[in-house]
Amino acid sequence: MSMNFQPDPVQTMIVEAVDAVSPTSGIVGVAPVSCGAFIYDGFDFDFCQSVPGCAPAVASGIKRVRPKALVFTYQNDIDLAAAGLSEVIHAANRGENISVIYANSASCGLDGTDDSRIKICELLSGLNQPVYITRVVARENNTKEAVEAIKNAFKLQMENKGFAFVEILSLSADEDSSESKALLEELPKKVFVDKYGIEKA
Amino acid sequence: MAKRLMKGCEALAQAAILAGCRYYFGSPVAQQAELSAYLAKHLPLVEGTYVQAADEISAINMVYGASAAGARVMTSGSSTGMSLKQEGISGIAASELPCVIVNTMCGGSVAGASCPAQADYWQATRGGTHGDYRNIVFAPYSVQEMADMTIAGFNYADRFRTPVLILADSIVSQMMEPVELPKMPFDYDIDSKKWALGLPGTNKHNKNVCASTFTVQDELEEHNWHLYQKYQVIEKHFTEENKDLAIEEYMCEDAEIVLVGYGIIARLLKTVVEKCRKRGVKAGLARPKILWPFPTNAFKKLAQNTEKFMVIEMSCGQMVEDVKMAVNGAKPVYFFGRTGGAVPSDFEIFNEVSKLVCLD
Repeated sequence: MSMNFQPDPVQTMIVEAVDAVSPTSGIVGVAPVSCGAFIYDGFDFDFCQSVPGCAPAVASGIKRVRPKALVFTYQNDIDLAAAGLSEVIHAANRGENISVIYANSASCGLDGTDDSRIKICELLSGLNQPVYITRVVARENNTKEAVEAIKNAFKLQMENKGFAFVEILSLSADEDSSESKALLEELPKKVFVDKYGIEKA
Repeated sequence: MAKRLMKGCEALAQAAILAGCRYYFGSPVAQQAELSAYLAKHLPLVEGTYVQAADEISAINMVYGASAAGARVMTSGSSTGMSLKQEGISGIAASELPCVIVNTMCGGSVAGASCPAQADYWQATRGGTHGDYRNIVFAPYSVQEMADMTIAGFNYADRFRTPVLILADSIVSQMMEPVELPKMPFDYDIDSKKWALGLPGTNKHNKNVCASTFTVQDELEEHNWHLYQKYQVIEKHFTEENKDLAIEEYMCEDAEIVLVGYGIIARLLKTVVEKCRKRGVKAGLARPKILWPFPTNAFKKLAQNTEKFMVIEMSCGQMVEDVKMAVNGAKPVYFFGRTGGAVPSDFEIFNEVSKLVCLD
């Protein structure tokens, strides 16, 4: 019996970005918990599952062993902004040379009310180590900005620059609530950290 | 070969390096702080990596990743930290990734206390958290065994693609003894595991996936049965084919009472056995060196010749259940334990034994 698995549009964006940077020494993705755990089905390169929220730590271990490989996590808000908040903060604070792709569908990671949502980009921007932090919107008919942001993160990693974080505001079909849409409009979409000026390059 | 005077946890750390371990992720705790300190100093000398993780959850998940990438990797903790690591260990075991995990047990639940105990037996031998999995569990009782079991642990972890636990206590970890270490380091090729992730020169290829969750339920059941069959092979290896690896029997040939203990307790029991023999009581010692798989067959055989068993632990009684299951009612099994960090004296144990036997 097959479980229902809804492919994530961010998956396509990641493939596009990987193709653009063309890594030559291995590619490893690390999957989150929830439906995203099966994202590896849609990629044709190595993948590792992880326990709730711990993808950045798993990716750190992989990258320490395989420093030349492109190592990234794909995480959604139920994984990163809830159970995994500590892990992403500490991976960023260690300056791990990995890329974290955060697909925020604006449905989890809050403490009771919509006003209580933790804004991850703003939070990580207070750390000294990250080299690139950005928040972009991916819309059904326009994913160019998101793909460019992921490419930037991957390029920085391949140049051994350090930790990059890309938050993609992306509403999945079953979470298309008015509250989520409101959040999508409300959050500032901008580059928070760009130590190497890659946005201008 | 020259012997060196070393602390148990330092001998373990050096043995790990000799076994080809080049990655350690952990955070220092009192019972084995020297283990972390030793590796922080010596791993960089062999181009290894030491990462002091923010917490135990980070550490075990870095182990998860490093093992998936093909490295020989280790972490350590002490009871409380081991509880935090459990979800990661479950994932590592179910994903069939090899690693060595050290637990220097301390007393109590939650934060516990920095004193020796054996209250983590159930957690170590029953898997530790949800899911159908087991871990191989070694129980060293000397500094020499801290080293030997670590080297064996890395080899068995790779052979069976499964985590190996070194279940020590804070006495074995902290005491100093002469230890003999292999002169030559184990020759380990980090690119030798074809299932590993991110192997050099690979790009888009027949991908490797480390996963314990499956989109098809039949596949999950098939995977769980596959794990079960592997654990049966491991059980057979230690309980039938290599019995000497799993248990030490001391003066058991004619023993009317067999004392049972592991780790530091077994050292006390050797003294008690000798005291008993001097008083005309035929006592023996059975010391499980591997706690899972438990040496069930050895205890069945012992039960044919002895009259009774007495299990001594630094807990309220955990391993005693495995002894009772192995003996299966053939002979009575008694228990004596101290807990919460208290270590029984040989005199105290002798008094308990003397209640069960007739002294001259």
